[in-house]
Amino acid sequence: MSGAVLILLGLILANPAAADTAPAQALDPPAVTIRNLSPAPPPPSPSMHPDVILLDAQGRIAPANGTPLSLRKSCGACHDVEFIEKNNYHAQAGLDEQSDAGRAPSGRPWDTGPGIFGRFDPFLGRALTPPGEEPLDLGSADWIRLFAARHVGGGPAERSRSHGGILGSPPAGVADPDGPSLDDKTGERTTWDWKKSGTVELNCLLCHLRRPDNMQRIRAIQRGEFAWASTAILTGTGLAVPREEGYAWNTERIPPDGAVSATTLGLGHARSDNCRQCHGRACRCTDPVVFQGGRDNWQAEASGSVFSPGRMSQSGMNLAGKESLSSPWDIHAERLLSCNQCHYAPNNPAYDRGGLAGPGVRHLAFDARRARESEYLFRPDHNLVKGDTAQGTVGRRFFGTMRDCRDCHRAEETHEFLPFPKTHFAALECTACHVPRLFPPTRRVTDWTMLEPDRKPRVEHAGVQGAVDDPLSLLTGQVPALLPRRAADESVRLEPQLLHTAWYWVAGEPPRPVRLRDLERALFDGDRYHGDVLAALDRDRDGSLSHDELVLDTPARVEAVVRRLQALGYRTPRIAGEIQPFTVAHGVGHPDSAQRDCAACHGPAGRMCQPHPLAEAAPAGAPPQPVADAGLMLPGPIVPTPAGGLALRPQRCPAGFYVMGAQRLHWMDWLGILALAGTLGGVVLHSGLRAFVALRRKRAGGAA
Amino acid sequence: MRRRCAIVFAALGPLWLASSPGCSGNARPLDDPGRHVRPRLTPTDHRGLFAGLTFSDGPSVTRACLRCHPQAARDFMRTSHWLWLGEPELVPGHQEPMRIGKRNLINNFCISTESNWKKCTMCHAGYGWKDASFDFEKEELVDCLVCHDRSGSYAKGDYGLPSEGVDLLAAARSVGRPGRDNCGVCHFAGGGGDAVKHGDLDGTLARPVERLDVHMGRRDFACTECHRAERHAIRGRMISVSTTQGNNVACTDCHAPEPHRSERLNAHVDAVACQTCHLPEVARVTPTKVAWDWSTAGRDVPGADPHHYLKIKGSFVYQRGLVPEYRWFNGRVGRYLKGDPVALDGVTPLNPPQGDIADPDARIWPFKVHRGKQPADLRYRTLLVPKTVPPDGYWVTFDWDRSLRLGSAASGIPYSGEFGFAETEMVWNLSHMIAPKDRALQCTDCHGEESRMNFAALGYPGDPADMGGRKTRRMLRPAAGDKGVLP
Amino acid sequence: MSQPMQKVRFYTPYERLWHWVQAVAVAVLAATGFYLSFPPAEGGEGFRAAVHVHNAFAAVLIANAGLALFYNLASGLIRRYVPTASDLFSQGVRHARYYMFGIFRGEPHPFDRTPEKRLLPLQKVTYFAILNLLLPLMVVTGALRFIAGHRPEWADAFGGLPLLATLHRFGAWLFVAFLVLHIYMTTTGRTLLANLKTMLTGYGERECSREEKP
Repeated sequence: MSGAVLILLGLILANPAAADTAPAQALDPPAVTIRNLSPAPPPPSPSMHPDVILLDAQGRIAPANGTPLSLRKSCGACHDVEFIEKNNYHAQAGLDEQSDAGRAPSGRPWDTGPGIFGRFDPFLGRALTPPGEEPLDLGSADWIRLFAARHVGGGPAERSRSHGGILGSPPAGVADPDGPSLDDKTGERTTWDWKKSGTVELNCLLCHLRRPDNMQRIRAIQRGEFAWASTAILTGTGLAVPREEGYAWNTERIPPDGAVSATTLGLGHARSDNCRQCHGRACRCTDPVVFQGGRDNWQAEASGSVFSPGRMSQSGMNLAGKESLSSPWDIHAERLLSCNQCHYAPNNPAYDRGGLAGPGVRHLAFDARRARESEYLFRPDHNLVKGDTAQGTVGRRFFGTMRDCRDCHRAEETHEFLPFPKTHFAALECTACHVPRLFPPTRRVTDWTMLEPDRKPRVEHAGVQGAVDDPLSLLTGQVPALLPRRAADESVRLEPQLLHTAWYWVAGEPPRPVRLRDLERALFDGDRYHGDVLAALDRDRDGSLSHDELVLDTPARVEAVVRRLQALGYRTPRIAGEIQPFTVAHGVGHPDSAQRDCAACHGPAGRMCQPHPLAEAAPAGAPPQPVADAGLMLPGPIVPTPAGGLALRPQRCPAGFYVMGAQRLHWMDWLGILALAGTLGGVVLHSGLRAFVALRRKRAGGAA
Repeated sequence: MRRRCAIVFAALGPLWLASSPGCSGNARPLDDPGRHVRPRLTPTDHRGLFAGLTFSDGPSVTRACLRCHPQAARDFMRTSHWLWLGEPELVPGHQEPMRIGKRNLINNFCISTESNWKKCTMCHAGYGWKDASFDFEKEELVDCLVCHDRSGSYAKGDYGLPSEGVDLLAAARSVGRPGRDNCGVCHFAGGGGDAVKHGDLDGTLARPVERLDVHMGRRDFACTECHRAERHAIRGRMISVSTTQGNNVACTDCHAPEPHRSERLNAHVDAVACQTCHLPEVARVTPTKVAWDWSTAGRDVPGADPHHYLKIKGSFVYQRGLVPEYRWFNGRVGRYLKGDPVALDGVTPLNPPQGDIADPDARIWPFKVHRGKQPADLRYRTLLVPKTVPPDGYWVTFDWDRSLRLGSAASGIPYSGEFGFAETEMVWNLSHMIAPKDRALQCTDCHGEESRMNFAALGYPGDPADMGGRKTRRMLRPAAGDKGVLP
Repeated sequence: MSQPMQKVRFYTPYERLWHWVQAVAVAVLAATGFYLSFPPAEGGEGFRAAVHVHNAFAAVLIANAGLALFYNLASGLIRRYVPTASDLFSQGVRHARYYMFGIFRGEPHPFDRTPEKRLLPLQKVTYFAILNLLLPLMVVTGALRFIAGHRPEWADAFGGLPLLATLHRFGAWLFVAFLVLHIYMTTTGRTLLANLKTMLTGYGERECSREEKP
């Protein structure tokens, strides 16, 4: 302390003098000359992968020719890329499960498939136009660009849904069915130039690169430079550089033979960080978790999944009661599991359970016959085993193939404290108790019936007080709704669900969603709301629409927009409302944070008996219904709340499952109560009479 | 008979209750460390006990103490706090047992007490240790106050004498059980300033928050709760001055050896010290010194940050939030002794922890590593001791040669006249600043791709979470009988 | 009041112990059962504790009933509990008439209770029904619910937990109704508290009976 004071004094005394005499004479103190200042870093784990020769689509050295990288050729030199792309629901995205419009499992009359290619996404509000239909909302090229951030390439980004061949190469003599496209700026129908853009091939590097430059990949696709997407993802490695148009190779770092080492590329197995690029970007591995809303983070925004080993108490989020939240975001991430240890490639010899032989052969506990490593590496099956959730609608034939809780955990060993363990295990998904509260704010409402001034839908989020994008908003967390759902194997169990309610305009017969572009034209007049709309919605007559006024909550207000849409040529425009459940399957915390309070369910205040809020404000009309392919079973009606919103009110508390302490009175209870009441009444009557008689006799006796 | 039936009957109910599973959830009874903490005795109030006495100097206070505590000084004078020497011990690599301690060892901070008593013995619990001729048998030279003063006004100066102007009577009246600040006067400030030496001991522990140290913060432990004293012999040892086991304070003094509810965590305790996970980082508030380069000393650098450079001492590196380094440690260390050879090119470890992956007694411990560069004799290839303190030491003269000659005379290390600087390394095993359990390390801190653990350096073929630990891989050699502890 | 009174031992100590253990068990079961059926919103540990108390006292009740059954069977005293045809009809009607009319007119009790014939006709009928119908119903449904924790298929064989639970609660209502009636009937003795005293001390007063002085 005194030393510091002295130094300070010295500084004060020395400085003016120094300023007078030699201004730039400040000496740097000599640095420490010790050579081994820090411990030696651990040696990097070596890569077994041979050098990769960067080839283009014609099989030439891509850097030497300045042509876009083709992974089909480069990776395909050793791996069966064709097989990988075909057996890959991430790439197919429902292309291999296409049906006629309206026959898809979702039941929406315009859906043509169960995946993001063909299944309407109310988060985005735009629908893939069924082949040959008018008016065009999303053509193939438009879809590729819009879904750049969510689709890995291959499948519908490479092949035509009409003829199965490569996009832009229609059979001879036929007009290109994939040509129609909507011009972003004018909204005019144009024809896409596939020759110029190329196609987006399956991007192996998105999942197998240590540091993929996904932003550049998305940028390339969004700019329509489809063929460059595989090259763009290498920008982060310094091997490729973005240009005005396309990308340039950094030939200084690439030898003339185009061979680049796996270490330079950062090639390896798919890590959780790779999955996180699309599935919940809320976290990187050990960094503090910071939630960011928006489309980049759509999976966390929808299903609340944060797969991070960090403790919640040490995250960058403003969580309610944060200090006591010592559990990691996901205990499995903390226990070193990566995504692909549960969602593995089915023919991975290390994880393969011998599924084909297994069920049929009872005398075997383990079947050692499986793909050899070389076979697996040549043809790894990329239909990764998956769970069974309300939202995971693509690749239905793979539902429930993954290693689930019970494949690893012996729940019976650790639940001695739980009464009726088997009953609980049979009725409940493990997550029902092990994810009692979810802290990432999730989207609860997307209302496309009326647009905000910035042309965005009205959205509501659950689990947050204040704006979702404001880092200072308090994240209160939410208790998911515990609802019965019929799984693919026909079993019905109570699962935690996050319910997303969406409203949007449909019109015509068969119904098609009203195009966003047309809706904007209907609602807006230049930069302002159209006069008719304004007149109908402006409750306070101040000449502008505040956020609270942007709800079509009365038939008259609905009618005002209906008339505007009719004026644009839409026939019978009407509001469709739907509920998309998102099953909570991740975010399992430390066992200490699991639900252990029996009364949370076993009581009239239990979570299965209470009304579950769906929306704070809702457009007028019929209540929304769950989408058909979710398997959700609503335990009661959807009713308006006094505040003008909607809530799910369980009618048969609790949803057809017997929950001790939470059920309503049965008629036999009433019978019993009647018997008790009768007895009580009889006793009261009898004793009253006795007392009365005794009193009278006493009085009579006294008088005598 | 009937009555007996009835008794059996009545007992059934409670029996059921007792036998029914999980009245208390699935929490199996864990250890109850609190019951090992001894209740504190209320110290005698000394305020009225010195009527009519005046104290002219330190020894006069001690004489007053001894009137009622006649054995105290004798007891104390047997301890290393007084002697600055331990019991005879066999230092690895040396043939004869010898007594080592602050009195005769070389470190890579201020290097040695020999010839530098003036400043070093400010932290000796005695009065007037001026040179090698100090009388260790003189009871009145024991400084009772430095540990027992509770007024906070007592301070020591050169040679361990009370500082100018200290009110000895007030200090004497205040005496009581030593508090954290009493120990901290020396142990927080080791190395010449707050937090410099240990990393896990600094002034923030005088009034720590729970997050900083769960024992002192949440439970308000004093140092003596763990470092219990038996007739002034205080438990505990530091590997900077002692090479053997014994007299240790251990977590298991209070905690069960396998205290976790998780089986997997308990499986770690064979190979990992408690501190490794429960000390995520040290020097959490005040930076600690991790490197000291004497070779750059002696230059005039006006305005240099004293945490980076001091003319009298050279260049430093300080670090806050220091992530420890991890090594195998079986409780013993080697020790560089005066006259031992030093590597002029490489790094000479002054107290290398003993044990390796095959040693069943060794566990992975967290260490603060202090890297130094200090004077060495180029011809004899030994470390040298400079005299640094005034009036004729290096801090005044900035003359290495002269300082080393003076140091050589005091320490007996021959000095050829050719000196240079050699790199050395000292380690400090860490045990304080234990964080609350919800801040302990988690799996991913050590295992997986972003590990803080250098498993290759520890002798593992790979991450033991993937490749198996030393037990599963059958890497342990049979336990050795000899621990090197002398009877 | 013309007859002299005599002190007679009605209940052996075991019989009294049995009665009161049963009384406490039924009361606790009814109370905890009610709590479990209609728990307060903030349950938590209280709920868990109530489950265990309920289970424990169910065990007490079953064991107590079983031992009593053995005691009555072995001693042959069980015959006292078996209603005869006359209990159901002529005597029963006489008994009921007393409660409906005689008791108000101050008529003497039509039956003279002796230690050997201590149960009145309607009492016999009621107890017979409770012991053979209600108690087994409660025990079986309760036990199945308890065992369902480990063998849910057994409960399913009996219609599943929802039915068992409903039946169990229905029985509980009846049990409580019985309890009310039972306690009230104790006041219809010679004095209001006479029967209660007898069950506590074992001794009751009875008139020197007509049989003894024909």
